[in-house]
Amino acid sequence: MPLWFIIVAVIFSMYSAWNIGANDVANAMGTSVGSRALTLKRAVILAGICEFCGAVLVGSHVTDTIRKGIVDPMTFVANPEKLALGMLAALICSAIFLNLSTVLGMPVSTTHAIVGAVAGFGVIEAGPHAIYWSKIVSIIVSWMVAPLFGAIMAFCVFKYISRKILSKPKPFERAVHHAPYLIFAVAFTLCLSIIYKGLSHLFSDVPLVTALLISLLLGTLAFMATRCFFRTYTIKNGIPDEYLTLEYRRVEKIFAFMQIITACYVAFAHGANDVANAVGPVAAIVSIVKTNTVAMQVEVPIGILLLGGIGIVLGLATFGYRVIETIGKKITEITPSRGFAAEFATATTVLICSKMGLPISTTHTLVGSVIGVGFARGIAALDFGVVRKIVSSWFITIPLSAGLTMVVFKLLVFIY
Amino acid sequence: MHILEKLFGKSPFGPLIEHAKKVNECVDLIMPITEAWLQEEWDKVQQLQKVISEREHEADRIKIQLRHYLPKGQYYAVPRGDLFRVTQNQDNIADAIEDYGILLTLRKTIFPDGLKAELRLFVQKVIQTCQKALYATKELDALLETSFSGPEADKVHAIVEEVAKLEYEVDHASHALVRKLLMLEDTISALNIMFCMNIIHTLSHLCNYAENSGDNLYHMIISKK
Repeated sequence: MPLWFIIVAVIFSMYSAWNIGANDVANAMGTSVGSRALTLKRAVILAGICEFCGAVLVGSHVTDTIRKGIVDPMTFVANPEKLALGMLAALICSAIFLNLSTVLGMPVSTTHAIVGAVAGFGVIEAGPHAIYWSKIVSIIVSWMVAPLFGAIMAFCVFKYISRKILSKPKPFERAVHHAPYLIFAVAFTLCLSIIYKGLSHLFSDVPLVTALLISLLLGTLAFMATRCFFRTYTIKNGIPDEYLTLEYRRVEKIFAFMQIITACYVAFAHGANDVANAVGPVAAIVSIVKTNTVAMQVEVPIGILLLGGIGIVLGLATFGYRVIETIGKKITEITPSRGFAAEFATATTVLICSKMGLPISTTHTLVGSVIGVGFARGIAALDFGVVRKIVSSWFITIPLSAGLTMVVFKLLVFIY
Repeated sequence: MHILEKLFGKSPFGPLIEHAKKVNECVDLIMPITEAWLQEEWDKVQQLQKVISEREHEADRIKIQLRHYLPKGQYYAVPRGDLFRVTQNQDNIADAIEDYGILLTLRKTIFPDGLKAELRLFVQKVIQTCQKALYATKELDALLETSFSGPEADKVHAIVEEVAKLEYEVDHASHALVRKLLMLEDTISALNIMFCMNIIHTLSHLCNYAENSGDNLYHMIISKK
């Protein structure tokens, strides 16, 4: 395998990562900028850091799925360069697909496209027996379950906020009281995801009990910090007003602070899941080029995850900030308390799927979560036309991207 | 366009509140036109009637706009039918105020001097009822914030109950007023009495619509719980 091959693969992978940063990070940060909890500049910096950390710390699970969980690499032992070519074809196809979906206005997810693409070249080169069909089925099921799970969780979280805070006689006091518990939940799941089977690059595997204990400790620290922060914040800002509408504005202020945390949480989860779209195929290619064999057990090299992280941050810095700004301006329906519930549910769902190695769409999960808040009567009106489009995209993406990849793959083989 | 932008439908609450405000502007003219009538300033009555008609027309326009905000494929935090019913009843208030204004301009109806003070009190009560009902609609923004529960919902419930109580009082006051009016049947012309009665009826109808609007609003809030 020549070096130019790696260079081409890296270019396409960077393009893909750039796109992820440019388009999808707005999901996490848009509403926080819209509610003025964050300035655009701070949002971009925070999102960059969190996406990067998510990609590097938790990104390996889904990356492994893409590079060896869909097509059995062992069927390519005789001719490893075919696997490399196929992975390159998959990368190219997902890039084409991404631009196609933007042109057609279909909510197609790059994640879905890359899964179809990898399966596509696997079928045509090694035959259907080389595909882990059970894995494909579980991935497709996860595309449907994740938005549903997000919706249910967002519904519950918003109901909790509504019952315990918004519909109480003194909502501001209640918000200050409950905020630390909500932050604890965020910190705990976040820490657990990083520590448990997450830091294998840096440490040997931490047992679950230890991971739980450390997460519990760090969560409690976050709890204390939040409590102190809001205590001083309340004292500085005087006694609550008697006017209810004013009081609600103050409650939303509290949630605006907390939404910054969940926005980072979403960015982290997004980085963890979506970096694989860009670097999964490259990871496969690099290990083939290095050893000229198909190696199964090799870890995802941290350098590749770093590369993906950098690509995402670049996309964010060069183009993503504009998307964040427009989204923030246009979506005013979602106040911080709603945003908190939706983002918490989305991030948790995406992170769980990332740990399970399931490549899912963050955007679709967020749509599900927002609908969950809507069903809890948190949003005045929702347009379900989007849902129809998303559901149809689930079914057309795989055959379409698989077919496209077959064509590109044959072309590549011909050229090579 | 980003997919998230498409997900959010247009909120119907903004136009609904705007409609309530416009109808309230009509309510604000009830007392001035009543005073002009009782002082027998007929030019002023004509003038005010025109202003009422204009405002009623604007309210109509908002109502029609609101229908565009309520496409069927959307999911609303409140039942869609209730949104229509609240608007319709608010619109009926504006219509009835317009009818009242026109009744006053049709002929120079004279209201008996001895009952003027009582009529003023009656009109005041009518205005209060309408304003209360429309005020409840204006709380919708705050209600959405609390997802239609808690102290805000209780507050609206209390207002709606007050409206119902006021409507009951207005009904009684109108009966008493008509009775006293009919005692003077020998001194006033039959046509004059007929017009006075019509005027009182129109006003008490106004309160029925106000009560309906409040009822619909409350139904809208408590459903889907």
